[in-house]
Amino acid sequence: MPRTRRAFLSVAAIAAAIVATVPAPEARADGPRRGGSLSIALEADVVGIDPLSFSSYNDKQVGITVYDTLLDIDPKGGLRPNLAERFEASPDATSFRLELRRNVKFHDDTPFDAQAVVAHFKRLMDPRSRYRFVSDLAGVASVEATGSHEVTFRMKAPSAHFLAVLADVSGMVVSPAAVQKHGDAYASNPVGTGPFVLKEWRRGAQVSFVRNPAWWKGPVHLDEVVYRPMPDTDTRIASLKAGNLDVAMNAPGKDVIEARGARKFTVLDPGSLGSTFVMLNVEKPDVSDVKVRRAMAHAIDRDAINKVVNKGLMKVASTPFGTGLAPHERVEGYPKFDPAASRKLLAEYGKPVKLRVSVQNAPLSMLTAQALQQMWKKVGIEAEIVPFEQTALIRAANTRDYQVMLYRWQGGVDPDRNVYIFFHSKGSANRTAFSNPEMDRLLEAGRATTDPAKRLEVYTAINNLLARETPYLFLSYFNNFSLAQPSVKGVAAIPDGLIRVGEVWKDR
Amino acid sequence: MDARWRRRLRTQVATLLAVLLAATALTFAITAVLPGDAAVAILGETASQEDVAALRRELGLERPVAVRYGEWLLQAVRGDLGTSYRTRERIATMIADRLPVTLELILLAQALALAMAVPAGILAAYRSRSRTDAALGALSIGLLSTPAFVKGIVLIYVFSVGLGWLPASGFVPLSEGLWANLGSLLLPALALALAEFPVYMRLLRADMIATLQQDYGLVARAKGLGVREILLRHALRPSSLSLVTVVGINLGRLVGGAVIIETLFALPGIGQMLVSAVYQHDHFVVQGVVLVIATGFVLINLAVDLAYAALDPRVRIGE
Repeated sequence: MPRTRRAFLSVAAIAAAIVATVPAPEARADGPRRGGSLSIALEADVVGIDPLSFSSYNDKQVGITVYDTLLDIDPKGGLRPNLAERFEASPDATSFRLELRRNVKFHDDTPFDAQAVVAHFKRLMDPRSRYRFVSDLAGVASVEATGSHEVTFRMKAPSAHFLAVLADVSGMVVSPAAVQKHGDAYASNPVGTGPFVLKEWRRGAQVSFVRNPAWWKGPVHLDEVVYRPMPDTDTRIASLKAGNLDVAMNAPGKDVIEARGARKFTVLDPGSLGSTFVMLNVEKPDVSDVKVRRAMAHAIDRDAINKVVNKGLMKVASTPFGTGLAPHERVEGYPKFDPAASRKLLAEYGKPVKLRVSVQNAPLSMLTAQALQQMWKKVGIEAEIVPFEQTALIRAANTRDYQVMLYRWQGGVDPDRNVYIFFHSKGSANRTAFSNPEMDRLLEAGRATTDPAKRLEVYTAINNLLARETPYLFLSYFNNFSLAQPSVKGVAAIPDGLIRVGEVWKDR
Repeated sequence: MDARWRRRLRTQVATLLAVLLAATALTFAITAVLPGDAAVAILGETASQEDVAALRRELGLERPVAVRYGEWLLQAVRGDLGTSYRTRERIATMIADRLPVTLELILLAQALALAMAVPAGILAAYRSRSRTDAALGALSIGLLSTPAFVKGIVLIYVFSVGLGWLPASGFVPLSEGLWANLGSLLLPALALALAEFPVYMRLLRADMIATLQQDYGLVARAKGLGVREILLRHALRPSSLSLVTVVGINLGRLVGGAVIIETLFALPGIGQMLVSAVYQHDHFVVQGVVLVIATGFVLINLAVDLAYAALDPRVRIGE
């Protein structure tokens, strides 16, 4: 008898366990579920899991898995508190005070406090660190701990745009104790305050993270997040279709269209910050004349290019500001598609126009260049396409060794970051040789006030000035579309395109 | 025999060194003239001109190519392949991590190709000019004329997306189980093998037909030996000399195929590492990988020579 009895009990126990683990169907529908592993494809393996070695959108995605940013952005691109609970600018925008969240700990159990934040910025600003986004911090005169949980940044000049930097890579605070402990090997042993803790990094194969049980923002739903470098686009999409992958970021247009039609996957559209455009070096022959520049703009049918190149997915652009920035499309007088107007301007110019268009040797860039070549040909502008390798193109842009160039800028969280360094006569990345006292005055004014209404006015004026002078011929905004399995829930549409994995959950 | 062996070994080592020198020098020269800039790749697009120039000086990119090659060579001879510009990892470690994946992939591909080609080749030879032979011939032409990445994509769509039998991408290390490991490599290895299979099969078929027409083939048949006995014990060995050579040489060619297949299937091998190093202008990584591949290639050729001797007594030195 004891045998049978034990058997009966264990059967009952198993049955009870099954009942306990299978949730009632109605409970499934509401609220996030705990558990599961989320796999996301990367275009390339990360170089290091350290803000110092981040460069691409990919890297930033891995970054926000382990690190929290001091500030975050909302779907409209506005700043909101994150690791910093409160933030405040001085009226002249030359100093910023952050009040840090208390009782936050790094994954190594060391406290997150003002000392840690100061040490973090000192490390980023040290020239030996070779930080790629060091230009974002160029305006910082000093960073000081003005309390146990209070940090004050003093700037060299008014810098209303500066706070947005804290919602980007520079705001991903690393544990100073871990940096000290691991030295050169820190990038393989990252320690942040973020929702996930590094579990294992098999270089070239995958980086996996497990839930941080003590995340200050609340319980993390997923057990695990796994990033897998998959350099081939077709492989990413095929893996998604085969169910080996949950999210494919930066999906190509044709697959987004297919996914929308078939409704098998969720299309995540975060909106945009930056744009693609034709960049004109105003020091070079022909394009130095605004008549030629405007004639080139009038000849471009942006809708047609968007249809051919982007399958109509993107939004046609007339400003440098994506959908996630307030001055987006607030512009008057940007040259419309009008071949007659174009020919008239060219007749006024009187000389034949010959262009050399520098382009990255990537299929979509070449396609865009060919479309432009055809459109310009129709109004009598001759254009020759010169393909470049990517870093060679960047080099040519930075040394102004080009006449016309197809370029893109992924965009920053503050409008300033899409225009100041490019159009200020002393801008650090002034690639068009644009020099206009009115523009300089406006760009300075945009940095001098933190009042959103005043800033919107300034950047609208900048849009109108750019529409008049046309150093950039805008093509379209670009959104980093992602495709996800329908089971992936809780992804907020934030214009920087990054997936806040701490809030994501999986429905099964 | 000793003296001849020694002389032969000396020649082989000299060839090895000459090939390595030529391959690395050529790679160095090519990466030096490639468009692009390692300093821009490292610092990013908003870096100032001064910073880029400073980094170029620091990396020694402004100095003559010959000097840089000489320095690299001196270090490499001492066994130091340097560190990556990008990840600051030791290149020898990076290669050691990834080489096993590539080796496993290539060996599995060879095994699959031979496992398909040997029976098919024998069958085609035995039934030469039959319908089976013609079908195998057509199949091999079809496979030969399809590029590896197309075969890869088709395999992914059939076996991963369609049937869901195997993962579409990624690598599972041996430490997580033999079957999971083999499962992750099966499709990429098959994609590579399907390119080698037709070559091996046609080669074996041709040699086998010739062998079967030899006198000893007839004698074996006259002795009343069975078909199986004749084909496998008498005809296969003398017919496999060219196959062994080609299998050996193809090991090198497969590394080339692995570059594409590893990228397609997202496998962390040296092929994918080479591709990303080229894109990122990580010159010393490119050098290191080329050095390893070239060494492997030369050693394989040596091994093929030795295998010859084992298969064909006439080649054995001293006889």
